[in-house]
Amino acid sequence: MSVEVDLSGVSGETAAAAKLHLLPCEVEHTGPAQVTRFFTPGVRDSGQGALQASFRGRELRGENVALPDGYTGLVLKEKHKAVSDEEARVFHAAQKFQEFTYWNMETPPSKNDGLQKALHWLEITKAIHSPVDKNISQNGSHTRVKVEDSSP
Amino acid sequence: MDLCDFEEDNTKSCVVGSEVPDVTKGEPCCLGIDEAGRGPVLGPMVYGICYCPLSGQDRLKDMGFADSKTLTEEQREKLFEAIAGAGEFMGWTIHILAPNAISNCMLRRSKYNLNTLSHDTAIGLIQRTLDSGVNLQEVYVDTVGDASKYQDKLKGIFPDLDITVTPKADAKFPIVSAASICAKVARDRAVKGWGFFEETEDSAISRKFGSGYPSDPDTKKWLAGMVDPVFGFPQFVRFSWSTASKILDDKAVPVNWDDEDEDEKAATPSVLSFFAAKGEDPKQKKHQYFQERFLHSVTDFGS
Repeated sequence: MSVEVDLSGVSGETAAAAKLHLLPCEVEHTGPAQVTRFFTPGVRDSGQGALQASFRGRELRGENVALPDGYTGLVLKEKHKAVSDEEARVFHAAQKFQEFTYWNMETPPSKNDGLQKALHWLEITKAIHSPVDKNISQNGSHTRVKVEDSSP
Repeated sequence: MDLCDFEEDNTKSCVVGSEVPDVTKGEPCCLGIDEAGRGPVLGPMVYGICYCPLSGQDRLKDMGFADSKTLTEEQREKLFEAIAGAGEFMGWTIHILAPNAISNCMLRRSKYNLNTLSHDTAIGLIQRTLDSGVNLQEVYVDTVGDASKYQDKLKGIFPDLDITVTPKADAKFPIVSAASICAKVARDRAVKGWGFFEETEDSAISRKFGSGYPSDPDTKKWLAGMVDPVFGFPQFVRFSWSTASKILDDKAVPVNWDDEDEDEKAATPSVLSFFAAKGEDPKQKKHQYFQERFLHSVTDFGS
């Protein structure tokens, strides 16, 4: 089965950034939700970027998480379900985003949360998959392995 | 009674109080504690305290305090005016527990029940009064849960105070009646003036929610008509009340939290599991690094 992603919907600079919330629970619902009516007005800034809110009466603690440099987040929609396995699945990018709000249940988000650590992997994968540059400078924020020229 | 701090942000609890009368810093005082709005599924629960010199108790009796529940709203408002007018010898403080704060507490991962929340609020108010320099000697509390256990708990925390915990304290002690009036007046005002942040120009919210008690047909009807399939109710509703959660079970989409099925997981495994295949080849298993990050290799989007 192949997958195609149609980016035409978000290619322009004018494409609005999606405001996304990642909740620490599974909501058995796919479709529109009145986020700006029931959720966002209840979000409080508890200082130093820490956020607090409630969902279904439960306390949430959150923070805004930016995607690593060079990455863009996309909200994809599948307009027609593929009928057979041979048919390609086509997704349309409806919105894009550079950050989202990550919510934890009751405890403030920390560097030990799975999500934060998962985003780290993107940095590491960049480091281990990018071509090795012999003339690497030691500046820059990423740790790189310096390759010595061993030819005599 | 100025509730504007609470009205500004009714998602959070809030403490409001009178000035501390000078006379209460010198003369030995008594203090009464009572609550209002414990039972309703809607709106805040309010804790009230009132204190005055022991020598002023006759004056208290003359003011005509009685159990706030036996008084009309108008009578309560009048009596509160009297309390506020007697500011040179009586002080009061209320702690408004926002419905959202009640839901948050009661639905916490480590359960925190309403009795404990009530006790902690009362303890906080006594401590606050001591900290403000009031010369407290006697404390009268309308009980929450078992009276003798509650009394022992309070005596353990405040060994220097003479503490009486009893049911119907608001009918027995005028200072508790005064406290119950402060609490009830605050609760009524907070409910009446409730600002729904969920209300928008296109979606008005009806104020016909009745008394807020789960047994009130108007309250039940209002709740049933208010359900949003994803978010449930406005934060005016105590989600932790079974009246509210039962309606959501019927009318809203299910929401599954990580901590909910912990008990089931801990149960004895099915005997069949001992005969099942041993699972995948351990070599196929992802390195711990990826497991900890919930990272998996995928070749397709979910459906």
